[in-house]
Amino acid sequence: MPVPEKGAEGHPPQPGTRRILILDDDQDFLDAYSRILSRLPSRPEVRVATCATRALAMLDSEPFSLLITDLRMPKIDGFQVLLGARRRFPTLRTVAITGLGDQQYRARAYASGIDLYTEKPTTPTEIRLFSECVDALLTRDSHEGGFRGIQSKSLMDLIQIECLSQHSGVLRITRGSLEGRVWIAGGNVIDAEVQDLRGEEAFKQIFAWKTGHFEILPGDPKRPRTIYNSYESLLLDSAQSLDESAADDDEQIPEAQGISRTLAPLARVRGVETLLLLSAPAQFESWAVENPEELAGWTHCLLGEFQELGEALNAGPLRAIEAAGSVRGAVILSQNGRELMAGMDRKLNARLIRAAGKELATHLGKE
Amino acid sequence: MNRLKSKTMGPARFPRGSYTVSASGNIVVSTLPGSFSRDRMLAIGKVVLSALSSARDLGTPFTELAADFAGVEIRARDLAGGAIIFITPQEY
Repeated sequence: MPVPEKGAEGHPPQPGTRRILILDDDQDFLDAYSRILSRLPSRPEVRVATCATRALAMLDSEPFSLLITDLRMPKIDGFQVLLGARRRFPTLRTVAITGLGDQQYRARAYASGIDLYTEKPTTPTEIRLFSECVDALLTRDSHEGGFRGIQSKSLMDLIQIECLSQHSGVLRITRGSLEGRVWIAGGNVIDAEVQDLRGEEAFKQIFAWKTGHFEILPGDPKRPRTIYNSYESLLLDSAQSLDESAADDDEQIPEAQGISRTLAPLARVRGVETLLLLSAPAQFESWAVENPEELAGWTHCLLGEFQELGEALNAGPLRAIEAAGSVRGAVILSQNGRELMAGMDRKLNARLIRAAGKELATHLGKE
Repeated sequence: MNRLKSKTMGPARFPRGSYTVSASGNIVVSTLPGSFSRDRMLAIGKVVLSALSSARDLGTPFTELAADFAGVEIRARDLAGGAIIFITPQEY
């Protein structure tokens, strides 16, 4: 059974705890600020990433309230991360930090839709002000969803308001790259559209979105009517469908979050930060790995060398290779013809890495 | 490497001890008994140094590495390009 992940202070995160993700290639900065921010009055859980790929994978796999990112980083810079994060997680608060006082950086960062731009705080006063800003952003945020424009209002509230006031208009709702439209005429929902869907089916799809942005466009009197249900029964039907599909959604979570079904249970093992699973030398799947091809080749060679050594020494089967490092630890193992390389949190000691290795082997053995 | 292989069935019995290899793979000092051959120490050292070096090249330097075999644990700590290697027999 996976061990619950611990917060920065070593305590299991409480339900409803807000999460902050800090992305910076400077490990010292990450260490210092994960300590500082975890002591904020809102007691957030602070997670860190040293590269953009890892940060985006973390955002995909668990809910965060706030992303704090450095702008200057090798390979993928902070701007690219911000753009990707804004597109995929519209309600995520974002803070850009930089060591530079460049006005062009500032303008570009705000243009990408960030909530706050700041130079890296260095003095005690700057650190205090920065911490207060972060805490304010966190407490303004809402995990429960809501549509920007009318915070904390659900789509059901929005439609009821429009219909009760007998308005005609087009509700344009965006969620990441998805866009849906709901046509309202004289207080009735007459049509909806999202991707290839039309009518009630489209309405139910849009209704399932818990977060997003909306705007009300002028009415479209020429829009043909496809929905004849009253808005009350339409909302009731949609809410019912949503409840019925909740169980199925739980099953689909791993795929939807950008991680395969095979890797999802492995990613939940305490301390696992990256995963690469080879089913054949050139056939692999990975999660949060920056250089999967290179790592796949390395993993295969390393296991081969140690297995050959084990045979030569008559040391018995190789159960696992475990490593600790200044950047990341690792668990490397081979089972049922598959090879696994798990990048581990560098803070884990040898005993915890071994425990994680055993858990990973158990999961892999179940497949 | 096959010439090092024991003819006994099941994992061989391993002594407990440690030794240090330089960055060039030479044995510097050892606490292992004479029954554990120098060839075996060199073979382990070669694989360990190669693993530490390739991990460095990959951008994830390891400070410590352990190979967990059914019969023995080989644990190595990076020593500025060389390594100190601990041999610990597994308890059955």
